[in-house]
Amino acid sequence: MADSEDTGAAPSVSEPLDLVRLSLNEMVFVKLRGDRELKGRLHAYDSHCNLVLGEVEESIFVVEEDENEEETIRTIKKQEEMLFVRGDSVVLISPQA
Amino acid sequence: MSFFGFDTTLPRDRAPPGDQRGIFDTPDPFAEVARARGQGYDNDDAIDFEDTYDGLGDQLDETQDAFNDDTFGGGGGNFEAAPVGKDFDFFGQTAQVADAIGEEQIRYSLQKPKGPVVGPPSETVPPTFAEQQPKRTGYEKYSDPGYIPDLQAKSSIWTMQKQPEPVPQLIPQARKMMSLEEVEAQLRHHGVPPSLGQHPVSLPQSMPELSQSLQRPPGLPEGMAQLPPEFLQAQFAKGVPPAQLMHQPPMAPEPFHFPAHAPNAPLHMLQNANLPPQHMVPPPQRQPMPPQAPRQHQQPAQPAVSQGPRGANNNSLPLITNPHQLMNLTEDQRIAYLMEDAKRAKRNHKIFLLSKGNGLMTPQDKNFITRIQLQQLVAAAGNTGNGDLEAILSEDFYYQVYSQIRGAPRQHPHQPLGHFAQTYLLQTGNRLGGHGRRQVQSADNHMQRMQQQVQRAVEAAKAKPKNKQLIIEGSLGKISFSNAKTPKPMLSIKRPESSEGGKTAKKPHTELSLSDRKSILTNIESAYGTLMEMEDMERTMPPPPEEDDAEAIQHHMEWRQGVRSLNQKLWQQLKVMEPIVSNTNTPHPFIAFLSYPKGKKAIPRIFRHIDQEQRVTILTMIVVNLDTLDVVRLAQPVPGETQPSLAVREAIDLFSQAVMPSLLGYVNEAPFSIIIGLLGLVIAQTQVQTVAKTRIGLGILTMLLSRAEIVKEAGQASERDWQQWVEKFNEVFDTLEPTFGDIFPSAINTGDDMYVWQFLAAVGIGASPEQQQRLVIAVKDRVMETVTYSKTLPAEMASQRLGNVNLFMRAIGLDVELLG
Repeated sequence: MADSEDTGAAPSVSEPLDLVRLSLNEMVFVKLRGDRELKGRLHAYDSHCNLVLGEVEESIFVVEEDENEEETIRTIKKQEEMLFVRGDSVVLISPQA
Repeated sequence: MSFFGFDTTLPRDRAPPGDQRGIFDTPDPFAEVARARGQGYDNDDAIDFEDTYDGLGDQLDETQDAFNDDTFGGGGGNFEAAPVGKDFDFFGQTAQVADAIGEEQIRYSLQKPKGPVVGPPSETVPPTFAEQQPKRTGYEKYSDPGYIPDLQAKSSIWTMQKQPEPVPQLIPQARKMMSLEEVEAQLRHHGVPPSLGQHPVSLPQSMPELSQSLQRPPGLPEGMAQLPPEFLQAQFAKGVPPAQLMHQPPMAPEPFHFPAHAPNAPLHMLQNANLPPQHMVPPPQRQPMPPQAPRQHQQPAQPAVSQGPRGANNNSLPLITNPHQLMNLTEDQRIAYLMEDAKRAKRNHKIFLLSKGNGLMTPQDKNFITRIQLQQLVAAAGNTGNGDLEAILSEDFYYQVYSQIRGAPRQHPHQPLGHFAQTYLLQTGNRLGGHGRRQVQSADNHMQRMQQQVQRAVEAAKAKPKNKQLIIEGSLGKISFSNAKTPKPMLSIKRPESSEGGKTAKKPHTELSLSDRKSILTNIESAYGTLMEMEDMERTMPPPPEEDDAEAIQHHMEWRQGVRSLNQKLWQQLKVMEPIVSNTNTPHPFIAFLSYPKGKKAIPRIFRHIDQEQRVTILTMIVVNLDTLDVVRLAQPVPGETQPSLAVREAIDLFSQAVMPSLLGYVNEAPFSIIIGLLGLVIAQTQVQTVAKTRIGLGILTMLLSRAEIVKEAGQASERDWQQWVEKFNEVFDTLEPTFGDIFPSAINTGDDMYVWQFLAAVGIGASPEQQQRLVIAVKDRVMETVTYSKTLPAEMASQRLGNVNLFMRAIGLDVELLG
């Protein structure tokens, strides 16, 4: 039993992306460059952090300046059924329990 | 004349603003002189017109007019025409105090080393002296007979001569410190055509210049730089007019500047080698008439000597620029000259085309190319005369290196293993040594250099992996090297060796975190990994072996062994056999496995690869843990809410689509005893009433009941088993009877209640007549409700709802129609 546990667990997490693998088919929170955030189901990823997400809600944060030069943050939300995210813009991937 | 005359002249003198200004146009001529001179001095950076001009001229206009007479000799007329009196002899006056000024100057320059020497401090020297300071030094230089004025420095002044103003004509004379008589002579000559008038003045000026530059090669004018001094001197001695020599280079088009290019450029050497015969030796036609040529040259020489070498536009010969020069030649000479000219122009154009890419490559680049070319030369030579191996080696060196590094089959059986570099180097060394007869000394040298480079590279590569980390003293952390084969590790995690200590350290961890999210996900992923391996294994299943084919049998056995071990691996990863811990909050690992969508989705795939025993184990595990199964636990109806949350509904849908068919598939084949056992487990291990309130719970119960009914119908059940079953069934029925009304979704109008009617039908079929009566009583309200409700619905939906009810009604021998 103990041996089998070792063999079962050892190959599972040997590199950082294995943690991403755990979130396959789960809802994840992805932070992107350019003040964007995604929440969606992780369908696929690769070593470049290219992602395929489903049921995605994209949030774009736009800083706007009004007449009084007060900065307000406007949030644009978009819904996408399926999304391919290029890995170079991915800042972080977090499981969304 | 009064100062009015002085006033009126000033604006005229100043008239052309900006760069059009002649030397005398400026209010302070000495500043211009100093500037021109300054180019030869190291302090010229600090001299600017604005710096040296103290604005005295402007002051004169406004306030100091009263002293004009004192200054300019008592009302002399025009500034230029006035006889120059002693008062204006600044130099003479200054000379009297020259010593003091010199001291002052040294002291000042010592105090302010970087300050402009020209402008001494005004508090120590009267303003007049300060103004005269540049003049004094400048004139001293000009009075020096050995001084040769710089051509470049003067060129700006020469250009001004083109303007027909009388004043700039004075410049050379003023600089040469001429006497008044000479100045007058100049002025008088001015009315005469300049070709005659200037001749005596300019000729002596340019001739010593040339001879001087011959003795001093560095001082050569730009255009002469390429001509060796000896050559020039020789030509000079032959009587070739210097001006002609001077004019040769500018004939080349503008971009073709000899001095601008590096002397070591091969292309240039090529060009230069071609050039001298025609370029430097004057054409023979012109040899007989040296006296004529210089004379004609000297007339335009004033502009040309200074401008020509700087690359002035000369698309044709300077000779032709003056039309009447051609007139002076004979017809033959003219034709010959023109042909010569055309030839030269053609060649120059060719050179120009060739020289387009000049200066693109650095000497290093050229050396590199040369080395490559030499390498190719050596290779070609080696190809012709030598054996295969060496020819190969020299022909595609890099491929050989690459293939040997990659461990390709060695060409040479004598080569020791793993010491590519040494063997290679030895080999090439021998090769070169063996063919010393080849006259490629430089190539030999080059090859040695290549060898050294390769050796160094190999040594460096060898040395690197030895110390993978570098710890710099005083720094925090280590620097780790990387190469293509051993990339720099991003995380250096010490993996515990497979020793006793490692295991003990790990075990509590796995036990503790068996059910936490991460380990569950890890289990799922590893199970998927194994699943994929198994599916891959399935694809590669060898064909069923023949009886007598031992090898195929062996192969098949190995394959089966692999499948079996994978199956074991999968089974362990599923954690189905983890001990069931009662009374804990953490669900069983396998149940947690099923709580994830991907865990649910994995079940059908898993069921394909496991045997019946494993399937029943899974089913048992699910039944035992029905309470904690997420689709049951989370699906409990909450007061005030008509239905579970969207996520739970999705999970339920997924479970009923993914897991239930697999379970049903097994249950439909399961022996009756197992069904009885499972029902017993439901009663014993779970709270049937809560389980029954959920769709999945009811589904499983329905599954078991209907299987039992099928077994009974088929007459496969033994009497004893059937007794057992009835016993269990009665127990379930009794437990559920009070809640039959609660197993429906709370409101009549919410969603699908078919599964409930299916369950009730399964109960009704198996129930005794007495139980059926109780059942009807329990659900009568719901039946009536549904019937009335369906009347409000569209026909299609109504019939559907009624059909659902009829499932149950028919099971107990009734029909909705009877309720009409």
